[in-house]
Amino acid sequence: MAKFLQITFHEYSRHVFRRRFIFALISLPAFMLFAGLISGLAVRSELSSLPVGYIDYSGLLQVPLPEPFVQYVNESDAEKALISRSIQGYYILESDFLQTSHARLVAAKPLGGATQSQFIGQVRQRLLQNLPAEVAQRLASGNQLYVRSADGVRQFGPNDWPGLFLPIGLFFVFMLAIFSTSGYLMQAVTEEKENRTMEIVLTSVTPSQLMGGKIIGSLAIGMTQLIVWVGVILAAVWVGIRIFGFSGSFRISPGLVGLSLATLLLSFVIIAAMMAAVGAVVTEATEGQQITGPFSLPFILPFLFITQILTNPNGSLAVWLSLIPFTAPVTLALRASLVPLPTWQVALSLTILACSAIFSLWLAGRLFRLGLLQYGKHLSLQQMLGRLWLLKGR
Amino acid sequence: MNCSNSAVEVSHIYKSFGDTRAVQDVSFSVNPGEIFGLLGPNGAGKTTTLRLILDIYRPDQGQVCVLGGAIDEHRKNHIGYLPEERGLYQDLSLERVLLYMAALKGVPKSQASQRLAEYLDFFELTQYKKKKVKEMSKGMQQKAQIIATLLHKPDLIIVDEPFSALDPVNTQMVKSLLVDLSRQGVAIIMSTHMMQQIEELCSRIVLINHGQVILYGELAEIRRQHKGHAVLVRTTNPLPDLSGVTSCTSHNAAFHIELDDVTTPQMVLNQLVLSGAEVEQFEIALPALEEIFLRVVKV
Repeated sequence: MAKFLQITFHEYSRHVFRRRFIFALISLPAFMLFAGLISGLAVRSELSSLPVGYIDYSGLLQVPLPEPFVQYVNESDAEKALISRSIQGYYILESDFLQTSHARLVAAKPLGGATQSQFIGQVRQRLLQNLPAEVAQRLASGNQLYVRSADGVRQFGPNDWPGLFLPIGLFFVFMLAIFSTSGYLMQAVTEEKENRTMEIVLTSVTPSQLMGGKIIGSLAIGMTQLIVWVGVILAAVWVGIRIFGFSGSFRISPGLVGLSLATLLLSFVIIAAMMAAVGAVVTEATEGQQITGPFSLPFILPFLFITQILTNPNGSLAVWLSLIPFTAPVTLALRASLVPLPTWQVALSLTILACSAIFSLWLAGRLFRLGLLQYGKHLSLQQMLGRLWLLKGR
Repeated sequence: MNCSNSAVEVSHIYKSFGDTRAVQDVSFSVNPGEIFGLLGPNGAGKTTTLRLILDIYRPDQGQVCVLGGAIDEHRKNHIGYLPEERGLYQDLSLERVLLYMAALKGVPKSQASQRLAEYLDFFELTQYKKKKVKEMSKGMQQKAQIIATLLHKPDLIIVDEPFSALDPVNTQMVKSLLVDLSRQGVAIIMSTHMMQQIEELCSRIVLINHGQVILYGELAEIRRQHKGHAVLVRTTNPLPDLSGVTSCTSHNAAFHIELDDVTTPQMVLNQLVLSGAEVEQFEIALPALEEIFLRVVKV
């Protein structure tokens, strides 16, 4: 056990404190920050900081509105101000506004959504100012339609849309972490096999300890990457809500988080074991990368059927995709964010994933031993499969 | 598993890879405190035999006892292995690699650090301990590999071509170290193509060819068994004419005299005495290990 932990820690520290890893770790958040900054600047350049004028013929806005709104007595003054670029536009509330609810906007180019919302909010406040506070508040908040599942566990409201996309976004980040980390693992196994480091290490530990330590070490590396990336994403979301006032709620049920974590961690073990196995049987890291390229395809397969899954989350396609180890993580997460999943499906899917993870580790061990016999020699798939079952001991 | 007190006991092991028989019915034992030579031409099955001893491979048949029993995690901690092709993490510092290797052998960190400082000093590598392995010369890497083999104070050391990439000074240093360790009771299996090193260091050998044992036993006895029909003679005055001689060649200030089938060494000695030659050296000519190697491998 101690040796297993030694290998795990060695694998972890060896990669995590490397310049290449640190660069990869910060490059994604840095890219996101850069992209956010660029789009923010682009939006900002489109937005005017000039005040907005208004002319009130209805008598509703007798008490002047606060900044950035400026009251004008007549349209010609407001027009002059617009031409001289003192204001970005002006609203006109006609005398029959209280009957028609129609207002006009005169502007050189459309006002920003936030400015318009602010004006409408102010007008709405004035309209409701004589009503009791509770009633006014209720009327101001308008209609909000929530769709709830029969058991009350799932709910989808007008502001819950980010809750659907956040798991998908997090899944992509997770997959990125898994594949980049597993890539390191495969490369390390190939190199150590070819430069004989592995042979020396195997005089101290068993192949199972070596492979287990490497896979768990890789898992820890992936987790580190994930924690940093997810932390940055959540921080960006928090900043978006708190500072920039983006609307939307991010209610995600703990059950969904737990299910996603369990499926993704088991998937990680499967992928890492497969990568390590490939690393053990190929002779060069580049050869391994060619083989492992298609590994990611089954994991993204559910996105090809996303319409069918979202429109019919309990349909037979969605159920089958939930039970296949490679497609289960995404399908389950997508379905669980929409409908309550039958317990038997979750249990069966997790059991299949767990069994697949154990089988992958066993297979990796077998292929690793097989790879040890094949220093510098290419191994065809036929040879690999043929010898895999014949392999006695080592 | 019945194991004797030998450091290593290999009994009738077989190993095949597909249709290729790498090792067939190989048996030998290595005693504590001896330097044992493992010889054979390229592809003879030496490395496979070493990997079978080290539990990297498992034999198809036969058994291997190491340090009194079947190899397990505890026994692995008492084995030091220097493979022919060097294997150290190239992108890590020398100190870190060696401490990791020691940790995998179960040596506590403080103890490993202390021993490492001593070995680095002995091999004059102290100033390179923070350098990455790949930044060191081949000779330095070889010394580092030897440290990795010895750092955990093993009871059994298996070395494959231990002197490659070493200059004569370092070769002598490593030889002395191996002799010292064997005197302390450490069993050493040395695989090399350098016959002189084997003759100098090993008292017993096994020679493998095509996966089978060709020669096994005391080196002196093997040389006696393979002696030709010749004598080695050194005299102070010129060598007299001798009958029954097929050839006479100069050999290290002496004469290597090949005899015909009917002449015995005793008859040659009698001729020398009768001729009044002042004999300084007279011995049955034993073949060098290299000669024996070439002779048996070619058969």
